[in-house]
Amino acid sequence: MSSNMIMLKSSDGASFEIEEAAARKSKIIANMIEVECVDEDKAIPLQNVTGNILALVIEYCNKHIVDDDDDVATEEASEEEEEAKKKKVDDWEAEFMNSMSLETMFELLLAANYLNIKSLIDLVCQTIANNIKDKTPEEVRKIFSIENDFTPEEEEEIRKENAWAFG
Amino acid sequence: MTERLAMGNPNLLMRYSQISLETRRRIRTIPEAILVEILARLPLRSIARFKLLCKSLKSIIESTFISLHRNSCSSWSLMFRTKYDRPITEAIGLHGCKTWDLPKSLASYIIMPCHRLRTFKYTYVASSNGLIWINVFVTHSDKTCSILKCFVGNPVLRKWVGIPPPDPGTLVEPHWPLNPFTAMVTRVDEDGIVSSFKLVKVLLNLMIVESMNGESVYIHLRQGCGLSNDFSLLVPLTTLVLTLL
Repeated sequence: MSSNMIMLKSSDGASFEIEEAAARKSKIIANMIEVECVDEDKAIPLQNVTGNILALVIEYCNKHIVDDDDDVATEEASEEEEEAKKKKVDDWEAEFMNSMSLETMFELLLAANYLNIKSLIDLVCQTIANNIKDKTPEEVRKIFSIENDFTPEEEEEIRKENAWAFG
Repeated sequence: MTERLAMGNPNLLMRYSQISLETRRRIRTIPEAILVEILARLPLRSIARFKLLCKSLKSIIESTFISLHRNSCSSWSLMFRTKYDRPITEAIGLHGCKTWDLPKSLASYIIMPCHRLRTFKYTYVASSNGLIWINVFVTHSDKTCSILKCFVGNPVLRKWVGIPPPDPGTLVEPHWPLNPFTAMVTRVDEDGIVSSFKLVKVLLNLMIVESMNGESVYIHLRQGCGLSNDFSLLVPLTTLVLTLL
């Protein structure tokens, strides 16, 4: 396994060392490595990500790079082992997301979007979806700071058309 | 996703008050594409409810949503009526609780237009891409005669269109509703939205094609090609109508 280390620097000036393989989970950083604009002695500045969020992103990437290596090592693994491994990752992800406040979740989503880490975007979107699925439209508007631009008449019409969903 | 993830966190909304103004400002900057990613992971019932959020999300949901939905490939139902006057029975429902998030079966949400017409004598004729064609027998209040009304609609959205009769009094259908030579075809755009439909009936040597705005086209079939017991006609008939769309 390559032990190339890369330095990342958060918007509030904190520096993090991360294995290149883990950093490559981010398409943006992977591209930077491809075009060789990463200087070994210089940290990559990430202006849109604060230190506490970057720490979470790195924790996620490290966890998943280890899993990817395991996959290569045990190519002949039985279906049961695969299943058990997948469950382990799922459990870790559930634990990872469960300890997070809604604020952190949104910040992590914005960071994952900025760094272009597809699997992390998927994970956070699914977690947010699970959390809002039983909420009323009013509650969801509040969470996402969405302004209601319907007239009461239009609102009534939508409720009538989708009565099955409101019952 | 694990079960634990699927349960959601009941304390999440309470924590909303702790969100800083700065984060709230940043939440407003979440790109629409990401909001769609979140919506696409919801059960269909929540998606339908969240049309109420705002106009732009409503139009996204109504335009491209079904094709984006993460789970919708596995959602379908097989439904049928056991008798003319019985409600629809759902034989197999693979919509699943998670995809639709319905507390009851999908069939129980289907309300036919006939509840306003004071009759339950309706027959299922054909269906295509979520639209159902039904015929309703409406009995006059003096119970002297029944007339047939034809509806096409989306039973889940509860929207129905009455199809005007082709030409009043000119045709009497001999074996209705058992006429096997009926079909419905729909035209679907790239996003899976039905843009038009046509209904086809074959009576004797006449094929009637009715469009959604009530216009009818009569096509005379070659001698011996009309109403017979030849069920094999049905397939080429549907193909022919597809070219008519």
